Amino acid sequence: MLSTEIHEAAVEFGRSLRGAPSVSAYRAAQAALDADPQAQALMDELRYLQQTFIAAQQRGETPVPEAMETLRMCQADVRRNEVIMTHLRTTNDVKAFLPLAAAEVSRALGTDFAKLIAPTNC
Amino acid sequence: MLSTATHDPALAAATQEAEIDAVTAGATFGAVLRATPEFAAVLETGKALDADPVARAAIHAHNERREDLRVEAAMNLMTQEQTDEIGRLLDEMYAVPTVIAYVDATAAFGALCKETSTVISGLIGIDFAANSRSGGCCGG
Repeated sequence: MLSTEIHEAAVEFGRSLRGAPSVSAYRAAQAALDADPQAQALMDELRYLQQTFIAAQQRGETPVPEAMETLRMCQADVRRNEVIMTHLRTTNDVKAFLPLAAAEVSRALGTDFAKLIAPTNC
Repeated sequence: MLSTATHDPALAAATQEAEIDAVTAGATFGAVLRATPEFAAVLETGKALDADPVARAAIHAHNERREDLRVEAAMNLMTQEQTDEIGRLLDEMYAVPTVIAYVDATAAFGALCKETSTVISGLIGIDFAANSRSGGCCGG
């Protein structure tokens, strides 16, 4: 259980991060994706087709041309979907930004903060 | 890396300032963590560990043997005898009081940091711990 002081410091830092443009853009893009069932379905379809393709390759099978064409068409649909593409772009931006913020924590702390909080399955 | 400029100079400046504020807020947060009793315990037990010849010898013995067997371990070729030897050296290391104290202090501070990360993640809507290193949680 965090002390009040530490909890408030974490909240303050979190709020500052939330105000950063890359984080707020990501949050907006996530909200847009969450509100768009068609975009979500398209992403689910892409993931399914990609996983099926990879599984076939791992079994040593050559995917049939029709399956490859279905995957290519799905990829093209994803590229045309602004909600999905915005989500991907903002995800890239926020993932580039967060290490910078974590590095500042590490500098002030004098040890690698990111390493301390890294998931244990990492 | 800060956001690229927009066509509106005032907006670009505000954008850049907001990002700088967020990054420098990290320095403030890091200073708060550094001032915790949990971190002080890590420093204190670390000093005691460094000053303890028994601990240093046990750590050195374990680390040296593990390094000797690094290739075997990586290739999953360690014999049972070698595995037992590493286990014994590890047990001897963890039986030293200064080692125990340092490990416990480090674990406690690590747990505190992870709790703060959970708070932060909840506010920003993305897993802060998993995305705090370039290249993802395993670094890059």
